[in-house]
Amino acid sequence: MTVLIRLQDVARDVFENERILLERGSTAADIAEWDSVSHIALVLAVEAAFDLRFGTAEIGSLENVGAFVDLIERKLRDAA
Amino acid sequence: MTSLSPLSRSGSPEAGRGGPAANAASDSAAASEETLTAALARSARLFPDRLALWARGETRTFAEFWDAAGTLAAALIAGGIRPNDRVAILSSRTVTAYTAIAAALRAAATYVPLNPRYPADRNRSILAASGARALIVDRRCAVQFADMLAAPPPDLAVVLAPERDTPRSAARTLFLAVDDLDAAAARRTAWPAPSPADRAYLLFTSGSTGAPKGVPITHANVGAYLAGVAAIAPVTPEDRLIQLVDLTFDLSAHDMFAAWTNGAAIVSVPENATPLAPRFVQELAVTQWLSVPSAIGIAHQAGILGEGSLPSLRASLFCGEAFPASLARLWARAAPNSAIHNLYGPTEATIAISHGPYRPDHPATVLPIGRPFAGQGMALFDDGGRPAAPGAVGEICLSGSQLTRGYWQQPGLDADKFLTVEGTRWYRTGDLGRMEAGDGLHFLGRVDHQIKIRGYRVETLEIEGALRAAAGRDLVAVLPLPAPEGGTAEGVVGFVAGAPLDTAAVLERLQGSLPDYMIPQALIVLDALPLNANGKVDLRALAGHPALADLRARSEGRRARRPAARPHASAASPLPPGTMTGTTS
Repeated sequence: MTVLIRLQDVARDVFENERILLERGSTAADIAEWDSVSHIALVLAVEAAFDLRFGTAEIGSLENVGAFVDLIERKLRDAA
Repeated sequence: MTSLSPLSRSGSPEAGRGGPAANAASDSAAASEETLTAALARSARLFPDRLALWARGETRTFAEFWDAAGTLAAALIAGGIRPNDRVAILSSRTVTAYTAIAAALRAAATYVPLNPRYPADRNRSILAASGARALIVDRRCAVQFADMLAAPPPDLAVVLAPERDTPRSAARTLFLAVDDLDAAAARRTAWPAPSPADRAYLLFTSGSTGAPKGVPITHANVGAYLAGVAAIAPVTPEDRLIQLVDLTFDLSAHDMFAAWTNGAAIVSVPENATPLAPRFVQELAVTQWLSVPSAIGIAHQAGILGEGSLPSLRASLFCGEAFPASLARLWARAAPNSAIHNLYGPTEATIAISHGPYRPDHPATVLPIGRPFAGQGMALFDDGGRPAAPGAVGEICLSGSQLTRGYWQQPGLDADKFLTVEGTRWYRTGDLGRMEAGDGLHFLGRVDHQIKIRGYRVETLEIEGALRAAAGRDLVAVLPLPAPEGGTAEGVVGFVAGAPLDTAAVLERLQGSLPDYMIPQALIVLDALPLNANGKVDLRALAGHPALADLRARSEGRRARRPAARPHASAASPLPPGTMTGTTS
């Protein structure tokens, strides 16, 4: 399962919407449930799902799904 | 009006009788002599290697920050910007934005923040109303607001933006590439020196007519505020102040100038990470905090506000909305080494003008707004513009050296909002308060948030406090049902963040604390309450919630069918998915 698909599963769970389809270019503006508060729920849920922790400098860069995927992949590689 | 009893910092209303204006004139004089520009230059000289700024992982020392500001300021001056010209800034909270603010001050100009989260029309309106002669845009906004930049207002002489992303603009607009500015130009520039009476910034707030109204704030206004707030939260060069709000919200000025005038740093949390701010406090050893109280509830709801989780904080200030004691208790538990203060004040009085300390043993459900800073004045006036009777509710009016000289090019509004009594100039806040011995003033809501329910005058803030206690939830809001017409409402609807919730049990508990006409006719439970750009609960967004519209429609339907509405009618029909309601019948 790719990071993108796993991220999509997390997003569906957080946003309580099974029909969400994430693409690398998806942003908060594309998903009705993705507001500033749920963004944090998403960040925390991703950390739990992938067993990692984003640094403060990284959190601000998570502005679209592609940035999420790239950062998760990099952190997983670094941790391996 | 001969028996005016203003509050002064020295204590009882009597102690301040007739004196706040005189106090303001003397106490603030020393603080107001140094402009923000001079204070920043001093910090750059004394603390060149200290951290001035952390933003999105980028850092700047004072030397780097002030040099970059000088380069930008030199370009502004070379582009024709003169002292007191307005310099608009369209940027998220990036190094570019902060450098632009410092550059405007270094050029003795007035900065005017725009907001990338505002609609383009609102930014366009502010840009035009300010008469800005320069516009500084960061890369992201240049793309986002291409249409706006393509047709700027005619007063605009200079646009500073990354060239590659900047759309073509009107002929009078000069394009410069930020990366290609001449760093040596700053050394050749003859720097203008602003005076304390010059404007430092011009903020636009919501106007009742729908058009934003401008509030100019001088260097002296900010100096007076900084002197006042330093008494409760002194800043040293070792401090780090968090910045959580947009630059269009004047709390941002506290963070920047309390830090930079004292050689301290700001830690600017990106817009999309503000609910995670406690993590920034932990990782970057932040020592001072200022936010709206709602931020506590959001962090608590996210589960990131554990006991003792914020040990580095030693001063926590909250401002901008009523501060429930339940939230203060959560914060005290998370930040055990921090003093906690409730600040109060409108933009017109420069960030905040009074404070009340949090005391764990205090019985109030909402923290008092307390007493004014040194040299500032607060008083209560009744409906007739006379001093309110002792212990009575009145409109909070403010005086002193923090008051703006008046709205930006709106003299009619000045006449409505400012009055002079016994030689002292007062600003009418539109807020209601009551004086209580020992506490100072208590905030009781907005004059225009008072509603009448079947003849009873009701303050929605009081219902919110009871609902908060009954629901055991921190984030709640109350709106009238239906929208008041002629000042009357059939009842109120409560919003509570945090499902699931046994709404029937909550309503039952409310019956023990509120008279029947104040008990919400329905409770709408949401996963989270919407927040506006300033991080406050967005009442306008809640007013548009489909569940409320449905309730209103049925309420109006009932009213149309019945000669008189019965209290506490049931909301029985299905509501949108994810919405839970409870009713009193």
